[in-house]
Amino acid sequence: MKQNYYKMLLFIWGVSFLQIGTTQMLNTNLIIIKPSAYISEWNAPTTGRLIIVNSNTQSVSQVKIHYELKDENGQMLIQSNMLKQEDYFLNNGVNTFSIGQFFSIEDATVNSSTQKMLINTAKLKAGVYQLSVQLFKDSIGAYVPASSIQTKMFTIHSYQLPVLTAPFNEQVVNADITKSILLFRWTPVQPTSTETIKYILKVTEVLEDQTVLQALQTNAPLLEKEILRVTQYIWQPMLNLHDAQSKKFVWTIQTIDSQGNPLESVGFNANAISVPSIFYVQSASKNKITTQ
Amino acid sequence: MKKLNILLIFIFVNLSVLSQNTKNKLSISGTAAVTYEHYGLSLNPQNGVFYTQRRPWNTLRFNLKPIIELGNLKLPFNLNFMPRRPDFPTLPSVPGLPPPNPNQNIGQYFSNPLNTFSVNPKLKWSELQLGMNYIKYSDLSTGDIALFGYGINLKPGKFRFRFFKGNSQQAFNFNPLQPQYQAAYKRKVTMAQIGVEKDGVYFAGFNIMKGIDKINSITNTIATILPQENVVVTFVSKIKTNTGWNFETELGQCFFTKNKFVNTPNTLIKNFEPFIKTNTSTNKDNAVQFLVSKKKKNYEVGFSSRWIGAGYTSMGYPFVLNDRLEYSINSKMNFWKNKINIIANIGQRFGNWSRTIGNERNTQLLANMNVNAQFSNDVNVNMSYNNFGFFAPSTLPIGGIRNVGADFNITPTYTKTTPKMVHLVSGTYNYSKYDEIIFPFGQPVKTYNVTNSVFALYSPSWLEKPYTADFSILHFKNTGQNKMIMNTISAGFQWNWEKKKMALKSQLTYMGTSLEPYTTNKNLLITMGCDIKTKKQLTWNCSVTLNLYKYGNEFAPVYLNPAYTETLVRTGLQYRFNKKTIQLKKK
Repeated sequence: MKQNYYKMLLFIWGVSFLQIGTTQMLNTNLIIIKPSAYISEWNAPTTGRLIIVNSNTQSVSQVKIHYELKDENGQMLIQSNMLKQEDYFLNNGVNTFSIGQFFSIEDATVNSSTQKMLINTAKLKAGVYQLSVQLFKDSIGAYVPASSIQTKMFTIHSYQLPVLTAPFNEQVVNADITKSILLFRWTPVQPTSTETIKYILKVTEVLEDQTVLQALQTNAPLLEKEILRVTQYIWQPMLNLHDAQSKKFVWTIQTIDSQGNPLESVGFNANAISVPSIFYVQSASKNKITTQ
Repeated sequence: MKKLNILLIFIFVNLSVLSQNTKNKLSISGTAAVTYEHYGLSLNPQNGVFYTQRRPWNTLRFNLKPIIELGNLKLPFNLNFMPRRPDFPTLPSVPGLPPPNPNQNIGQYFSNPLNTFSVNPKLKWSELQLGMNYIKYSDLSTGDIALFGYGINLKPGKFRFRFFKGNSQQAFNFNPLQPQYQAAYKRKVTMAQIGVEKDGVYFAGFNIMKGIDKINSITNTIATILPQENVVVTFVSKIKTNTGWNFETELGQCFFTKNKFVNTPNTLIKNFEPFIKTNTSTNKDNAVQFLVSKKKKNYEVGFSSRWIGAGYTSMGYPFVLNDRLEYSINSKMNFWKNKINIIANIGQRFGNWSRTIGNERNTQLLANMNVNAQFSNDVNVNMSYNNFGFFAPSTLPIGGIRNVGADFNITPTYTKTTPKMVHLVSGTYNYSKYDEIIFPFGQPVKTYNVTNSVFALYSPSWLEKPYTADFSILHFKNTGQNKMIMNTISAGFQWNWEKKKMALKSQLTYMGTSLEPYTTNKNLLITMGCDIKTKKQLTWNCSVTLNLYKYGNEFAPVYLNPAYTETLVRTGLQYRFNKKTIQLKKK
């Protein structure tokens, strides 16, 4: 009977201890908004934040923030290394950290394919990701959980900009026809976007003694046309194309997302401008006569 | 400062050599030109929003290219500038133009991309490059951008050394009152090339290019404009053999820092000192290109391939299609005593090569062929065929696209020459087809577009009289999602009045365009111009273009048949220096 009494006391003490342990778990909230593909930009408020509530009764002064980044299939991509990671000091009350404050490649273990991607591009490839965060505290030389695991999913978008197909680069077109009509074609942005993509077609004349880039930087476009989704446009230039043997033009496409911002694309192209193409307009009748 | 000293020493050495070698002769050649353009637009109804200005109202440009030769020293100047900035109706396609600044200093005026001021003195194998220069070192290093600065180009024997340092971008702050002008950091670019070359036989050399944005050059920016840094190193080799073989390769590696404000060091990419220190926004990637070709008397065949890594970036080439592998086979052939010329190319491009934008690569096929046959002195036929295919698969239930564009063009030309006249008759038929299949809900949805156009031209030239004329008609029809029909009739006349050293030109074009379901748009385009040689070396030309356009009912009920009139007046004076030599000192 006495033995049962002691067992009962031990059970009550154990339950009380666990309850105390549970109440000492910190409340956390991981908010993910719209992370950039560049991890170096995760300090930005648009990425999201981690909120830790440290009430007076809990009084945890310093923690490790353990994080794991996995792909949509659950494969581990980046994982923090608590032995390398610095301690984060908490104040009483609400503590807010930007994602970039604790998510750091230098203290983490990165799998080989992600490492190659980060070396080559400094960013994550397009896809669906899940970020998990859990706090740990030092308890007599060992790290014990100080919060529950918070996991949020997010998507990284990246696009390949359109390639200009017609007129193709350095194509010579007939002035007699082009003064009335010219057909432009380009490939759609890849991958197909669910949002409304807007293409802005720009055609600029390259003046004598100008380079193509100089013309693009300094001449007003003769045509600037917004086109929704469609990848073809028929232009009626209505220009005098007969006053020179040959005229040079450059055209390009700028791709805009539904917010009106240039689309995030592969490589360094902050304005989402496709590789420009040039075309020459030559008058067939004049060339024939001059060659007589 | 050290580099400046080296440059000054180089100038001093040049001048010393010059003082010994000068044959006391000064000569001037080249051209000088001034052009003025006035654009006018009137709308009916006034203040309508159916058509917008597409050129600046007034543009005045000077273009001076004198070449001064002093003994062995050659001083080619290139002074192409606008005294007043034009009033842009829309901003240029690519950012970089600074906003209007009435207080700009002389340095800002000289380095403004609107203007080009340069002089590149040449003395035997050495060249100084001063001012605004567009310098190409190679396809993977640098070649597209304008730099305002200084440099040298040395070619003693087989040794090659080139160096240039300058600004490729002016600094300007973000101004909320002019949000269309993004802020820009001052960008300094330094580039060098070292190698060996035998002209037309071989070249082997290294290129290095470093570009850096000066953090302190601006105080106010927007979130998307960040200071950047870039280093590109490439190795280039080219060999041409006597037997017609040609080999070219280039291997490149780049370091690119997207944001210099980031202080966290990059543990994955080591510093490339002394050129660049990395941070976590830095990436490192590679690119390779290769070409081999064989040229003989009647044919030339080549194979070229290029791979550009997903993060390969050069400030010397602002526009690059990254993450692609492509190859192409190019050929040229001549038959029948050079009377038939064929150019044929076929190539394939794989996009998303390292799967950065999704799990599937996309493919593009580009093929084109041009055949030109000169059957006799009178009959010529030109045919061309272009095909472009694009396929992007998708593993998702939505997405995926396949499209194919094909253009066929044939242009026969007949020329009949009589003792008094030359009659030229030419026709062009063009067929263009574009098919697209998309999978919006997993099920294919096909759309198509077909255009047909027929063009006919008759151009008589009088041999004993100074007249030429041309008459042409064009019928264009587009079917598919948009049904459009256009008919154009055009006539031109040119009178070369030799006695007065004058040429008068005129062109009249009428166009009717109907786009379903609207009524027909009507357009009249009138151009008149003249070229006058007032003196032996001075030419004055002017032209006036009038564009009258009347819409159908596409703007109804807001505007009923609105119309606009565009005018463009262009005039210019060009002076060509006859090479004049002045004896400076008699021996």
